[in-house]
Amino acid sequence: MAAVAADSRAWQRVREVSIALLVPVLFVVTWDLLVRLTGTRLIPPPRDVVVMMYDFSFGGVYDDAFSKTIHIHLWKSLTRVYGGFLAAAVLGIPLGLMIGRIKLIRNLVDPTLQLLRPIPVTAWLPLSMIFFGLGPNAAIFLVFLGAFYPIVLNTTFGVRSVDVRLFEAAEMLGCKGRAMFRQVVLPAATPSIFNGLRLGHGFAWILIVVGEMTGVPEGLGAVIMDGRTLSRTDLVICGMIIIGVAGFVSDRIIVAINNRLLAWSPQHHA
Amino acid sequence: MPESKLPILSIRGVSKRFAVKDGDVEALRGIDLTINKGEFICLIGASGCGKSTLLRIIAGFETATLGKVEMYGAAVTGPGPDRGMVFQDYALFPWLTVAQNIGFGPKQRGLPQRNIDKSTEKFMGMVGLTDFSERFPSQLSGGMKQRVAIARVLANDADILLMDEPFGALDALTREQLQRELLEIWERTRLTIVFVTHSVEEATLLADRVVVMTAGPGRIESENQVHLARPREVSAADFNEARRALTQKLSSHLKPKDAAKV
Repeated sequence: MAAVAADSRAWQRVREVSIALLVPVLFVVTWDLLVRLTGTRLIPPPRDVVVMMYDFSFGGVYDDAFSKTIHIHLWKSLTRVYGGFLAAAVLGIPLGLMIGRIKLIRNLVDPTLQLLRPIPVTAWLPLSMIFFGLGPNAAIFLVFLGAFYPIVLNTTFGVRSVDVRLFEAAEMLGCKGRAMFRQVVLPAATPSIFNGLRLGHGFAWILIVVGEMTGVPEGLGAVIMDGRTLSRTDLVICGMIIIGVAGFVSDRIIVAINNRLLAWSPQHHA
Repeated sequence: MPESKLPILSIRGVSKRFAVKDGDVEALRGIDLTINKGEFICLIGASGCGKSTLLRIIAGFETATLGKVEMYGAAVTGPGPDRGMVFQDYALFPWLTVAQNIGFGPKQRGLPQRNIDKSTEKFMGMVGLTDFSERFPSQLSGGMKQRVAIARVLANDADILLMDEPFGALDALTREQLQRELLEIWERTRLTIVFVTHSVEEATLLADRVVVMTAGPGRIESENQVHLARPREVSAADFNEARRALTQKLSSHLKPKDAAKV
């Protein structure tokens, strides 16, 4: 009985994955067909991208500046994405907690935050290069900016929306002051904080290309910019695919941590 | 129990006004009530009669505009572990397991973990949830959640159990079962219980004394001893009689002419 159930679960998983793959496969087939039909030279067919990806990963095809360099670029981009994202989390979560809990801080900081928030991160590009010069710090700053707002806002929201009843219950059980913050506010706000982290993490990956427009020699964003300059569209597409996959994988990691920490809250399972 | 007439809580001249958009609303006026140790008191009345507000004032979540509430002669100034509240919507900590929820109060007092575990064990057993100790509230039924809420207050050594329509959200079968269990716990622990309800049957089943309240502004209409022997049987003739008498008191002020006066 149990074996049958496990079997049907595995079967269901296979079906789910197949269904999820249907659209990408259709997309690649259409892409290939369109390139053949129009005879365009501007867009490479999928097969060329596969070859480029192989060369980018293992070398031995073109043997140029990009051959067998994927690990360098991926690693550089990871340090910038996570550098900016972690800085945003380290600053954003405490700030959000304070904005949510302390009225003075809220009145002091929140209006400015709301004014700065609509400014697109790309608009900060020139200033960030003046502040941090050419190089990785400007990239990290831009990633940080993108991840910062969703983390702060969601943390604030989480703190502000704790059910009043829970404060009453804790109070009547003898909990007060600092203990209230640690034992009620923080755990109650965790689901929102994780929402913010996940959103911020997504923005961090989105912003890596803009961040690496700041004149850094290595990184997936830099590779895409180089590919554009050299009219190597196959390289551009390779960079796009790697960012997509890396962003997807690291999102799954965050979701896994989220599901582990929030086992108590089934509606916050992603 | 009713024969030990030791006052535990005294409410003197309590009034409560709430500020609303234009002016304010008088929720309670001139409430006088003495609650004796070990007594099971039900506050009953139509919605808007201030019974929940009175309970929240006793709990210390609200302060009286006028008058005072004293527990063992000391003024009540805020919530405290001596008065444990059981809310209708449970208010369990969703991130804590059943055992951790029950151990929350003892933990605040800084007891050693061994003592916390012991008292958690004891009260988890008393409400029959030992097998569910590692579950989270979201994995429990409404009845089980309310059992956790009761155990949580018992584990904290409360002298008075304040219950705000605790079984109002439960289905009839679960409600009856929890009423029985609550009476068992009350008889075993000799706790004082103040229980808010709008069900005459529930009040008749549970209470030593039923306090009938009326609205606009909320005040005490009458106090009624329930002289039925325990355990009580809802289908018995004398139970019906007591219930009918209480229903009359409750609905007398809902007659049209009185309603117009209000």
